[in-house]
Amino acid sequence: MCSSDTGSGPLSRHPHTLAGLAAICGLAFVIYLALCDPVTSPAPRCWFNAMTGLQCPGCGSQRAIHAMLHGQIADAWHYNAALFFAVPLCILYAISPRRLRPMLYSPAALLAIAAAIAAWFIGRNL
Amino acid sequence: MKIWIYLNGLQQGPYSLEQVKLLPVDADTPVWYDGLPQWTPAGQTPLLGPLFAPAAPEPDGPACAPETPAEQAARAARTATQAAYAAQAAAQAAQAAQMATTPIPPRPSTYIVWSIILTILCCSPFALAGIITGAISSSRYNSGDYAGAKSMSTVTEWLLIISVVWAVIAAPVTMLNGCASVLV
Repeated sequence: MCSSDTGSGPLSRHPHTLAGLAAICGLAFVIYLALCDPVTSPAPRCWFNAMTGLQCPGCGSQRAIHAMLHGQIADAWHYNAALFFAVPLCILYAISPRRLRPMLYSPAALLAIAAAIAAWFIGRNL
Repeated sequence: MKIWIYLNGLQQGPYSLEQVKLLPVDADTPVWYDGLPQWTPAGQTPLLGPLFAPAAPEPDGPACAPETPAEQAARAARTATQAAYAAQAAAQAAQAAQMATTPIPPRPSTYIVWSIILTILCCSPFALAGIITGAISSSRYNSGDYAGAKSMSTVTEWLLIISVVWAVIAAPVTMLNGCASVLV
């Protein structure tokens, strides 16, 4: 995302500032989750889950990150397995090796990601 | 078949095989098309490699016999046809050269990382739509519709901004509702 910021909207004008801000907020939240158990400490709850009772694609990620940072990999997998794929995928896209770019940004690859998230969302609620 | 090439420090394409033949591509030019695991020198690809193989020696002409008038007419016709082909090829080459020198704008951002993070962590349907619009933008760019790709990239941006606003509103509300829930 750092290599091809050439849109025309507000996000594209300060891509690196915004990416930096998001990274700082994300890191702060991860540190909070390392120190506090989201089950017993104040933490945002999924609005979708609160309204429907169904699990959204991200439900369990706070508990999963907390568990992972405490070495409980199996628990983390149980809370939200999608994180194990989403985090490396985001890192891959953030790096975007030049040779892989035509493949990474092909419509097929992007649609596959959307389809995988949709499948995970449906599958975990069956 | 869509082929991308890396020429003059720029990623260019997609081109058809016919277009690539007219561009100043040599055996060492990195190329990529669907089916190649990675960028590969053109001379080593199954598709383009044959273009750079050493030319086969021309077959010896038939032993010369005096030409009949019919043969002479046929030969003249062949020569005319060859000249027409050469002119056509020159025109295509000029067109391709113009295409190659027209700067191709860089690929508009698909914001895919933002979309994935916001889709999963904020459970935002807008961000999921953002992945789809990113794919549409990418598809338009690949087919040469650069303006369309850019406008779809801007749509993606706005979907992501809506997602962030949504998350900022939803998070405190849900925290008030149930901070001790096991369903966090």
